[in-house]
Amino acid sequence: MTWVVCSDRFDWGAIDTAVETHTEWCRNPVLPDDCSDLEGLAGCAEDLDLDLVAHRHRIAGIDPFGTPIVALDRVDRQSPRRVRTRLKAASSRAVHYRGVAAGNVKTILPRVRSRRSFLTIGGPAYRVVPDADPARCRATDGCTICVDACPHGALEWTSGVIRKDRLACEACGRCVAACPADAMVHPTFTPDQLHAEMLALARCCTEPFGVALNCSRGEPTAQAEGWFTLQVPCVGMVPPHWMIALLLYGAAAVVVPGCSCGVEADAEERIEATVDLARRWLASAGVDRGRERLARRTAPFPPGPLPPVEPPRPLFGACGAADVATMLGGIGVDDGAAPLGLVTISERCTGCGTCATACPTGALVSHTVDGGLSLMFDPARCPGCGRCVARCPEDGSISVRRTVQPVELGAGTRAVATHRLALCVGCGNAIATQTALDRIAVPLAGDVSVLKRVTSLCIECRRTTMVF
Amino acid sequence: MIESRSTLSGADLARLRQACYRLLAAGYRPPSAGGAEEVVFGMEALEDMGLGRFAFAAALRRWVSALADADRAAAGEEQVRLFGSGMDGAVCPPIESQCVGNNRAGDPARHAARLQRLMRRAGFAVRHPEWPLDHLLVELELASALCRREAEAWESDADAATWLEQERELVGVMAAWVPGLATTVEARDRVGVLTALTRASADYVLHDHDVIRLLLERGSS
Repeated sequence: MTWVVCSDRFDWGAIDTAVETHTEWCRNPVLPDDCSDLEGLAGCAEDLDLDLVAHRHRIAGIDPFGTPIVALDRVDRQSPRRVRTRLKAASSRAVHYRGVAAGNVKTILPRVRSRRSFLTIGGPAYRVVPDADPARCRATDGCTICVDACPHGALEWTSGVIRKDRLACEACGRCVAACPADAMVHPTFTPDQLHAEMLALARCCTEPFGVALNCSRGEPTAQAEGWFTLQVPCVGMVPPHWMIALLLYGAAAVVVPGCSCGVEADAEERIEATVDLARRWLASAGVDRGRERLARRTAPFPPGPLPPVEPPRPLFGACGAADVATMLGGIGVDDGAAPLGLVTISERCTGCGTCATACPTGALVSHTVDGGLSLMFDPARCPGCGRCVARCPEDGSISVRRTVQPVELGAGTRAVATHRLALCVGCGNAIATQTALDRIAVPLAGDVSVLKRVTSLCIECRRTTMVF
Repeated sequence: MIESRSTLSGADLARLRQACYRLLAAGYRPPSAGGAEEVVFGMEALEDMGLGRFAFAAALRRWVSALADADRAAAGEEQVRLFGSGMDGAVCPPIESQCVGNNRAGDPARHAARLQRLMRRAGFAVRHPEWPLDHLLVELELASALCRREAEAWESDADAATWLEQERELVGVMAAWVPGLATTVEARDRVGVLTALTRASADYVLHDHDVIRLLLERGSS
């Protein structure tokens, strides 16, 4: 596999990677006749026109989003080792690219700038936007978490399906971070891709290294020696556990700069709150110098990085928050923006199971065992979305606290409510939980025959059996 | 072949879109001798018109390539099985009211009335009444005809927005049901040509829906 590279500003002889060098390639990004051997493209950040590169890909019949493209800046070009690391990271990330569907492509036509440009239409450009994977999406159960998270009104819940307006979507990625089922997929920022890139960085860097987050919609920022950029849809979408995950992968420090794209007005506020939560989370786990480990601008690395781990699964997916909390340990932290939740059920619960039906992740499940009904809760799967609270017909019987509690996660799945099932005197099948029957006995107390009928017979037997 | 990122005139773009709709419509016609060759020639013409710059080009190329490589007899048989009518009806007919409608709620009539209204407004009439009005072939041909009128409007400095509005109405509905048809066909197709055809149709219709909206936005800005 060969990289096609621009040789204007860098001597590729020092790199032990197969490259096909071209002079002035960035200004005229030609692709090889046979692209089956093409591993990726690398050019100079100053000259590379990514839209033109994508256009050339389409003309050649190649998916432009599937080829890794590395724009090398001044700092990169000073160190062959750094260039090699960047190529390796981009290549590892590209391995996990699974293609872009039509629903993930937003068409952009150039703006009308003159009378002439009104009458003509420039070549279209395309941007990748997230879209719901119907196989994973829980919209059929009424889940609208992504719709609520979208700041642009691009998502709409209609009859159990999430409809997307691609033109309204700005690809901020907030729906991706919010979805507790990993159903909202951004094809060029999947958890697997970010995982592979971070693993490659950690393996290639023999010296301590830092990671700087960068908005993919903004201008790329040059990094100091020892720092690498991790492109995310927008820094404002990054949840706290992603920031900590980067430290767990082996980064000595993470820079969370301000949002460089500036598309969403509340991005800065979100970043501030998320960094604050992530630092408190680190402090609760006994990690010192959290302010330097999660810095707002590039600074010298703090000593003693966290022991790096090689997580078996991506820490950027739906289970990432629980995995990060378990790996980090500590006493935990409460916060309204915490990525996990803890459900508490009070005495008022009647065991109707509505909360389990509403739960978009299966964190709450109702089980019938040995004549009883148990509500099982898995804290690792609870995103703290509060759907269960909103749907519960008994006010105040269920509550959710947004929190990260490693001890609770360690305890695993457990029963949060158990109810005895009342059995039908006719057929022996379950009627309902005894608590529910006790509850309806109060309003029906004046009508003994109805009460007896309802509390002693199941629905089927009520049609055929009389009770006196 | 157009390789640079040079601009297209509004009329050129409308002609290209017209040709794409016609090419796709040809895929839904009953199998005939020379039909596949016509599609291959049509694709070559589209490439000359600058198809390669658009994101949906890859899907169209996949379909035409699958059609050119396929065993004609097997592909024709599969088309009749999936799209044609048999003893129990077609497996997945490319008809809007059968894909998204409810017969008891009177959806076929509603779909037909909507399309008839659209056709009358544009001054078109169906020449082959054997096709249901909401058959994808008819809808694609109608979209193609609307694009032709739009191209003529661009060329004569008339108001192209009128035609774009009608295209939006038609293509908006197609964008709502054709992707679902593609998924259904993908699950049932044994040969692969119709999977590629419906996927290309879905990709193109979604793309064109966005392009029409963008063109209308440009006009109103």
